[in-house]
Amino acid sequence: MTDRLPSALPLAALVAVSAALGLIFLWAPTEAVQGDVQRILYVHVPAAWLAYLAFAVVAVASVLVVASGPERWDRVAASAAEVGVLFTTIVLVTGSIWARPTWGVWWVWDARLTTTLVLWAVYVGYLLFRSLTPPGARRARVAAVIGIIGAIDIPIVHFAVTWWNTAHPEPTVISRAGPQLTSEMLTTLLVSLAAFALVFACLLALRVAQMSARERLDVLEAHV
Amino acid sequence: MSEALGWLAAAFGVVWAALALYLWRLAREQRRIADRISRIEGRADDHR
Amino acid sequence: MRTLGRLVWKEALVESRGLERASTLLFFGAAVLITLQFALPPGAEARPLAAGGFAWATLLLASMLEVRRTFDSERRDATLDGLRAAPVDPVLILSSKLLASLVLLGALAAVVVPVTAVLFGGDLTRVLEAIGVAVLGLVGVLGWGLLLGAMSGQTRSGELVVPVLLFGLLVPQTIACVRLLGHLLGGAHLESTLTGYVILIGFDLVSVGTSIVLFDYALEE
Repeated sequence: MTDRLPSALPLAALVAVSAALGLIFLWAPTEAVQGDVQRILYVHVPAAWLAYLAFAVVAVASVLVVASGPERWDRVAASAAEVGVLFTTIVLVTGSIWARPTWGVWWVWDARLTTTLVLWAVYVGYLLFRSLTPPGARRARVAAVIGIIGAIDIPIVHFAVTWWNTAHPEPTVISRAGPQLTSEMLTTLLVSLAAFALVFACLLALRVAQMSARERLDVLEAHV
Repeated sequence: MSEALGWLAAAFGVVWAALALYLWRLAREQRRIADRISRIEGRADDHR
Repeated sequence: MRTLGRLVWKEALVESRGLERASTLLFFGAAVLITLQFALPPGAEARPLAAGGFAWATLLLASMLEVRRTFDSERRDATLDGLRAAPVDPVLILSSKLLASLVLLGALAAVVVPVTAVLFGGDLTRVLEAIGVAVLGLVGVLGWGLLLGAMSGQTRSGELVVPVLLFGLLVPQTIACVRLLGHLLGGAHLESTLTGYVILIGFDLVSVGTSIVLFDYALEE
């Protein structure tokens, strides 16, 4: 009944994750300024890129719900939002854990961090809205509207927060990845990105399949 | 070095915990779906 | 145009029949302000600078109440669908509610802004411009706020959901209003008010515009 995931996908994800962990801890060189704590970025940066990708998927899927009907794209939007919130949580927490030994503070209100926090809040709200609305075409439409206005809002948030920060310009430029990215670091980063991307694809596909199964079961249970 | 280890453990621990929690949720949902399927098949058999 | 007038009048009638909405908002605003004023110590230098922020926070919280309550009578009598079924452009329904709520919240702003300035040792010389900023800000709040308020009708605990979403979505408006109000009421430094106004009015246009476009679709059964 559930659409079968091509088993190659989770397998590939497992291999990639193992490879990434190996590279991160055993192969990537220790960074000169930040020390070993810098290895957190091999997780933090890919997670961030994929979190933003997830929300792009939510935005596009929401538009498609409005354009071509709620059935299939609503599931994609909801699944992408779930995975997006998961990854964004990882980004925010690993970012804080990295920031404390590196910058001396757990958090700064710079444009990128603040926008990511607002992004997290908006999509948590999106999921909350869904969970509190009875399932059906109406919920899909309402969710699509929220997805669209969320997508329109985030660039405006980024712009506004950047302006807000001009009131107190940062005295030092906070560099994220460090002064130099050696080729070993880049390789490790890319492998980690591949691993995260595969995990993302697995989770998304699985979640969409589950939602589809659930909907079909709802129909069947009504008839049997 | 041991201090860095602490931070690394915390960060990777959080990532692992978050993914594990989500996968556990997915597994629970999968079980629920399987239950509903067998219940429906049971009901369908009863009708025959 | 006449239909708009009639709809706004309908909103006003619902309001004047019990002045509950207006007075509740006023008392709510007062309660919030009195609580927030304890956030800073009495003689703190930051008090005038924070006046704008606290005024906006009060107005935001009051708006959260208003965007749900404005649909209360429709929810009670299940007339929202009736309104939509009537040959009235849904744009007019939204506009009439927006205007009615704006009058209510605007009146609240006219009280909250000066009172906050006074309570926080701020400056009243530009208070009229400050009230104007607050009202412009409220337009942006109401655009998406009313859309969400209408959409949350069918949800359980709709009251919870609207604020959770709305606060996040309104961050740009909050930033613009707080910086402008902080400048007008507390003398906070602001190189140019232009960007603030651009964000303020731009947000209004985006918020109200997208709400008008999406309102009918969002409420389709």
